[in-house]
Amino acid sequence: MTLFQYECIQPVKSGTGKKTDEQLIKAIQQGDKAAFASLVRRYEDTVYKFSYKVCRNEAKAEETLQDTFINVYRKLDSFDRKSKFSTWLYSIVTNNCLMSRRKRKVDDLLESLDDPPVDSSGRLSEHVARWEETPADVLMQKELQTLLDKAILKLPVDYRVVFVLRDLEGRSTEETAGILKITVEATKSRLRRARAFLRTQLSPYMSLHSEVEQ
Amino acid sequence: MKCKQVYLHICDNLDAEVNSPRCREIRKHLATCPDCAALLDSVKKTVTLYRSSPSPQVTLNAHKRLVKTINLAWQSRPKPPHHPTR
Repeated sequence: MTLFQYECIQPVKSGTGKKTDEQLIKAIQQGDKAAFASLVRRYEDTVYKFSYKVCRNEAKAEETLQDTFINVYRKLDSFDRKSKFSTWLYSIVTNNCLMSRRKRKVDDLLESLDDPPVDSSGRLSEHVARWEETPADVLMQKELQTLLDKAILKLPVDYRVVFVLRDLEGRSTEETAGILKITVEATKSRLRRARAFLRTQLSPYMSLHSEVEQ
Repeated sequence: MKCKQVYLHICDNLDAEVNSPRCREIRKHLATCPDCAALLDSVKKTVTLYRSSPSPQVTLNAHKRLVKTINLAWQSRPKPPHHPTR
């Protein structure tokens, strides 16, 4: 039992009547255009939604969608099948999302989040505000949606993709590390900082919101 | 166990097995430290908020544009070598 359960992409298994990813890829490599169309249909929503979660912009998500499938088309012959197709696909879409990355001052702030303020006895020295609201209840509010978008866009994209892959897409730490070609430790560190950063960004709104409601 | 260890563990292992020995220690600490309990709650809610946040599906127009792009790419694909039958 875990604290969170994810709805991961389940690969099509043989015997279900549908062609597996491997069968489609083999057909594409032999020149079957319809097989490529099937592969696109199977994954276009996954790619688009992942890209949207990272960039929070529909036009950019569509641009990434196009770039990703063009890259898939160009590189499919070199897909070595050592990893799952979905993992390989995530590495392509993630690379496309990372293309415009740049280091920002917020990186320093993220690193400081590894050291929470503690007193001489080792206890947290700052009062941690309680979040009274059930998130789902307030999610419908446009104001909160805007806040979520703004907060995640403040995260450097290297951290954002880790948060999206791990917490929103439900990929394992090891798979995320493989997709990004970074170590497991670096993956854990980026996820920790991303979660702490987003929590800090949302906290004033969530705490204030509870006080207003009381 | 100190708050900092709990803080790092919470942020690292939100989805870890809750019955591991380390998690039992964490739970013990959380039961006596309201600040760490509030921290865990708010980190979980942060993730839940983002997971519940709607993301749009591919629109019909975007799908059509994608198909058009792929068709163009496919047309420029090198043809497999032709081996005439003897």
